[in-house]
Amino acid sequence: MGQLLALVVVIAVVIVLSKLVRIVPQGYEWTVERFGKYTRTLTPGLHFLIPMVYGIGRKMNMMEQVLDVPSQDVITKDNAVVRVDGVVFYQVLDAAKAAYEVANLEQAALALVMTNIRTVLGSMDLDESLSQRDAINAKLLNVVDEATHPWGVKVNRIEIKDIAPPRDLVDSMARQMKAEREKRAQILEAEGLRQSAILRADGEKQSTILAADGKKEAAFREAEARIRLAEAEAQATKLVSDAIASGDVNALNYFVANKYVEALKEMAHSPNQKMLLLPMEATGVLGSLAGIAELAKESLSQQQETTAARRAPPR
Amino acid sequence: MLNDLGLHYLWWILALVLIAAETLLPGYFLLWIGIGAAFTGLAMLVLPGLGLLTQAVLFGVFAFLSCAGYWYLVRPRLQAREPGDARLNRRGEQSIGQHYVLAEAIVNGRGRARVGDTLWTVSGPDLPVGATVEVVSVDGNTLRVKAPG
Repeated sequence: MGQLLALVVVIAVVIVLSKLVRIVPQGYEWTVERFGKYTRTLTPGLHFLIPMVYGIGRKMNMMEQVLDVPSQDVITKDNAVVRVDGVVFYQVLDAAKAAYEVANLEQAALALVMTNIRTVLGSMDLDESLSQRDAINAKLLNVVDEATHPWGVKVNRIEIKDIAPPRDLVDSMARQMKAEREKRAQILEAEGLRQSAILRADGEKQSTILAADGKKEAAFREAEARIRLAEAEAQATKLVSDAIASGDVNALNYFVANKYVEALKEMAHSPNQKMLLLPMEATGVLGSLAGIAELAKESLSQQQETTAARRAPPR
Repeated sequence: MLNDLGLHYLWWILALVLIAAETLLPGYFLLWIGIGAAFTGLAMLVLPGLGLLTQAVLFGVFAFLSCAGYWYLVRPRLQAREPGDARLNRRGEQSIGQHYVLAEAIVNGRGRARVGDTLWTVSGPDLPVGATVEVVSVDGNTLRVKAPG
């Protein structure tokens, strides 16, 4: 009997002493209750608590925690239904408040975040909600952090993970995008065609102008050439007529006769020998021959005169 | 039945069991209770012939004394040698003395300051948005601030 009692005493000592000493692990804070009423908070480390009087209330995790926000269907301002999920990072800063001010902290925080996601997205267009993640996160954080403040909780970050419009909406978005690109491509193509047409017309205009310029230049030069030719002919005629004026008519006759004779020779040589055309003034030819004779005579007599003049000294 | 001579061995066995249990059950304070049991075994060597109940009470006293000895003699030395970081897991206290910029004006003693990539509720004298504040102390999830200077 004494042995049994001793054993009980030993076991009781072990249990009471191990209850007397409390070791709170790092990252946690425990609330202490005296007959069910909160008195203080135990920080990490070793504590002595009088058993039976003081009890451990709640063991609060003081590390930053991640809450997964399950995906939910949300209707945007322009009546598109999107599936949204996210994550919340929060940390308990006041163990007592988090333990006693709210019954189920995680559930409460989650409900708050989910309803606020609906509120924030419901005030936005679909396009906005897809492109304004930062703004959504900031708005959510503001509201939720303020709401969880009485619970001794600090919400550090709320991130929308995924905003997924329904399949057919995504398809039409893709189509819109494609159409947008095609439109741009077509505009660019038309622009190119227009530019090339303008360039081509410009080239043609330039070449026409240049050709006309060339023609004009050529005409000018031709006119000049004709003027020059006329001048030259006039000069030649003048020279000839000068020569005639200063010389004898018979010299002219010599040339004419020469031509006559040549013309006759041509006629004789022509393959058409059945008929020989003679100019009506064949006598003219002879006349010109006579002219040649005259010329010869004249020149001979002049020669004699000069030789005589050289031989005979002047009297 | 245990004879009186071998009884101190029984206490040492109990001591070893408790110390071993300490390694298996962290969070319970069995090591020092085990040391108390060892002391009881020593006392049995010195004073044999004590009654079983007296031994049990003696064990209780020794166990309590060894726990108190740890608390008052060993623990202060350990803390002096390994202070640890008292501010670990205490986000607010890590920001005492830091300067932050107000994201919302302090009106009626409450406003918000930008800390890192999040906002903290601050309490202090009324100041406009964009003012720099210095953290004086922490009250749960509220930073008490003042105008720096």
